Amino acid sequence: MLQSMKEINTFFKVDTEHLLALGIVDPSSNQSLEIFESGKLTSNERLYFSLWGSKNLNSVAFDAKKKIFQKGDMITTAYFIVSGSLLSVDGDLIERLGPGSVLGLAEGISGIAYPKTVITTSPVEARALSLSKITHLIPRLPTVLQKILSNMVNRSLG
Amino acid sequence: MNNIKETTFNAGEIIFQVGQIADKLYLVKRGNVEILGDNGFSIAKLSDGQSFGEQAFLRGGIRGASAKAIDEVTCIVLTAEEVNGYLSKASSMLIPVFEALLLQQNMNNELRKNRK
Repeated sequence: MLQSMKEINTFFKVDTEHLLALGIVDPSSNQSLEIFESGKLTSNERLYFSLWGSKNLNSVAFDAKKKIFQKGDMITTAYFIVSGSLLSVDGDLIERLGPGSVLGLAEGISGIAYPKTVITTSPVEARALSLSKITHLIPRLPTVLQKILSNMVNRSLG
Repeated sequence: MNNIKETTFNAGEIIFQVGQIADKLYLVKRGNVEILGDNGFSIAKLSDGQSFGEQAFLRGGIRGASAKAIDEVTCIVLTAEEVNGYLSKASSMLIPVFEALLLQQNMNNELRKNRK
């Protein structure tokens, strides 16, 4: 309904069809790992593959038309999207998001309110990143990595 | 971190080039660095306290941009192996956190670039 009312301004997704075409159907299989090592994947496809298969992240599923974040929310859990599609809305700015999108991580680490409302437009499979765990772990990093992390957060927030 | 390695680059020196294996990441201690896209155009200029080369967080990643010293630049340099060692020592949970941050940064760059 939202789509019919307003124009999609921009979009992001990792090309999971390309991964499938290469034969990657399970991130933990030997065949998939061989393809990962082969250099045939783009940087974003490699990041997707690695996060998809990470044993440190819990799986979570959302039904279609589920609001994941409301503009102004403080982030307690960030998400890496494995499959499905979403719309991110901030006034007239509408973004279509797909597999490979990361929601709320930079905002959660920096402790700022989420600037958009995000709604699923299909069933979504995701991986959860708990911000309380992450913010507890960051002080354990060497100072130089804390500075690099801070740079990455700031760059992501633009 | 006892073995922090610093490297100094001369003005005009190429620090890394597009297409090379991303095996190190850098934090600028002194000086100015220019990041160049694969077409040779300037993407960003970085100075003291700013980092670059974060593709090194991704095992076997390839440089998508080049980095050049504008003037004499001193950087703290970490190898991908050292970074992974520090992250694993702190918590294995931090490896996907850095990967996800890198992906969120790439996503936001593409969203800004594709905006109509």
